[in-house]
Amino acid sequence: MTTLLVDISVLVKWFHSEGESQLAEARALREAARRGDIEARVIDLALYEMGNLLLRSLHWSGPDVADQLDDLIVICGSPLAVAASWLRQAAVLGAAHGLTFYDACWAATARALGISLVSADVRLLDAGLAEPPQAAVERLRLAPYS
Amino acid sequence: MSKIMVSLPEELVHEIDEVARQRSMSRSALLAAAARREIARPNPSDVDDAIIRSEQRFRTAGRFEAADLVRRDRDSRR
Repeated sequence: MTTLLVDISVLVKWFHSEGESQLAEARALREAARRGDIEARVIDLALYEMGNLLLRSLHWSGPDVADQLDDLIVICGSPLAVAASWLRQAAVLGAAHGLTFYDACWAATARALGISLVSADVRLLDAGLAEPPQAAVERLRLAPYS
Repeated sequence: MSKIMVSLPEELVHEIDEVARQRSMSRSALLAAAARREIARPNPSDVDDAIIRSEQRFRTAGRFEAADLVRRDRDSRR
């Protein structure tokens, strides 16, 4: 089974629709993960990023944020803890591509595990460190979402 | 170590043996690894319920592009 590291810029599209681009492709990934055709994983940083986004940008209540994080773990399993050796790789990638250390942790984890990072974040995509949902769907020949 | 008898389609057994050979594993080790992976997979009905709850929470979140929102949040940490 193919395992993908899924960035929160894509995970949010799994649940939110209004104004989203690449929605069908993001949902095709979600459905493939739901069916067990692929494995979608996140790193521990995802919980902090998602929590911050919901709390500070979307102004959700504390209980709603907590419930959403619980559900994210149900859907993607326990997040991967970033290993010490991956942090070293993150530092190298961050410096090479002008990324924040946080952003580089996503890419370093994917590299260390030999899996693809799927992201809609322009900075990760422009650095060539991630593939957009559409590319992942096409590469894995996943059923379109309808 | 328990020994069990399972019934599998012949074609699948061929595939299992081929992959086990490529990975220098025994058939039993490959099947055990596959079983562990499946057991560790989230319960599908729990996942379905979590997706439904998540969609309900986001339904009133308004209009936005997640990639832009995430990028803004990430840039605020620079």
